[in-house]
Amino acid sequence: MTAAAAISFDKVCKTYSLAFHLAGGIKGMVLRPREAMRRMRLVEREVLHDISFDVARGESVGIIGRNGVGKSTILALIAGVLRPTSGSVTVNGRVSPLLELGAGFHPELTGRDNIVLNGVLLGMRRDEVVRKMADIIAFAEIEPSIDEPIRVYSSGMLSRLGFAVAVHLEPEILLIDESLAVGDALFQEKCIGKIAELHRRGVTTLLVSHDLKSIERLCTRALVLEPRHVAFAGPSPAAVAFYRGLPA
Amino acid sequence: MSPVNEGAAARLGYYRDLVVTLTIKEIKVRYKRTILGYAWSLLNPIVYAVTYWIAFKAILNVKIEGYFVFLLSGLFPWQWLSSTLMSSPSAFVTNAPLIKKIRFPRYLIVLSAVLTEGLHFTLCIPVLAAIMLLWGRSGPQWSWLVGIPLLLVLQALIIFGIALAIASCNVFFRDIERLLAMVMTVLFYLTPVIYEPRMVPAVFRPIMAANPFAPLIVAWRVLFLDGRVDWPSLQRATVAAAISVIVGAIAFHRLQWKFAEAL
Repeated sequence: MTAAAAISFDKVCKTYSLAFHLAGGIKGMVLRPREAMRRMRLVEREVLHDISFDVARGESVGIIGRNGVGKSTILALIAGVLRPTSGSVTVNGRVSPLLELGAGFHPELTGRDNIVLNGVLLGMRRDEVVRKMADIIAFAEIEPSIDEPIRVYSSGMLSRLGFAVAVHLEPEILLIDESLAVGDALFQEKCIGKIAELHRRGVTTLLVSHDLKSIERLCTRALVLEPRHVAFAGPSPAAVAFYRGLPA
Repeated sequence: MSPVNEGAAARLGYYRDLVVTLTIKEIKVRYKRTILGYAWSLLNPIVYAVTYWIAFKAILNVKIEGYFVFLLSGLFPWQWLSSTLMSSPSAFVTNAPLIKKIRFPRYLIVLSAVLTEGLHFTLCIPVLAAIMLLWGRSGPQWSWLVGIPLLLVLQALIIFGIALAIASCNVFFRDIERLLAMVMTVLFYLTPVIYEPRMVPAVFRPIMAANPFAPLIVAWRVLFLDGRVDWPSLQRATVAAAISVIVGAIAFHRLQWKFAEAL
């Protein structure tokens, strides 16, 4: 790994064990422990196989690929919610995971309470959130409803709130998973503008999207993922062209 | 996902913020859309105390003086215990979106549940003292200043360890949820909440000795009713707390990396 790398994947493999979803019972484990263990090992699916790549500090990289090729797994590994089965993932810097906007929002709490809850969960200190409260509310443009419980919010308003909190984290690394499709066209424009601004300020950005236009617009480089491996890595226009040329 | 490059002090400060935020959320959410609110934490043990008083004093004529206050002094701490443990299977399961998307120390979810219930229990202590005075017992004693904080910490640790183990295992084996309701009922009757330890026949003493909740309830009761700190029970509770936290930590440590996959 070079010193400048913000994210580094070194021969990363990730295998999911499907047994957890199938069994979910003590009975099998108690009655036939050996068989249960064997079945657990058998029912495995390798999602990433021997993946290596570096993302330099300040770089903006897109990840494209069909459904189920492991794009979200890569982001989850960077965010640190999953651990690779083998190989290593190194991340240098504060990560802002925009994997799911408003994760941890509680419907009965007000917009203001949820900003604090979500902000702290994402890694901010309480006083930091309080200090940025006015900015966050202004960015989300939902001032009139901010003291109402968020169960009365529209889905667009929720996305605005979630996005507003996440971009105020002052992250060093921004992970974005399809979350650009939030709010109305004007707000989407604002989000893309904000991401571009963060990128100009030196924030490393990783964007997973099916929207090839935003990949070309926001990313200098892109990876094309095929099942289990990286099929192409290079400048985004070339990557998009490669992806378009893949057999369906 | 606390900042990686900052010192341990900053991280601790962040974890404290996280626990405070999660606990405030729990408290704010808990009694939303209820009319009685905080009174529910009081009402529950009081209704049970009245019921047990009718069954065991009025009908079965148990030989314990001041049985109603006796019951209450055990039922309040028991409620903290049982309501935290009963909700622990869902601690990680209902927070699946968080666990799958954000990296933070997940055991803090369980810790904040323990603290939320602990806070409710603490708020019940003045009410218990008032009821004791009404029933002609002695009120708060100086020994409470030593005993209450010690017992609060010990009980929090015991509940935390067990709840952490339950919450972790229940991610994979949802049977635990069903099992727990049964186990808690059994444990209630095997813990000296509605009777005194001295009434237990010698054959059953080993069960009582192995029960981590028994020394807690005994110590609370001695503190509230007799106004003294029951050091032998506190010692036993300390051992129970150590074992409980170790078991919880091992279960959590071994399973936590599978949470995001299994949820």
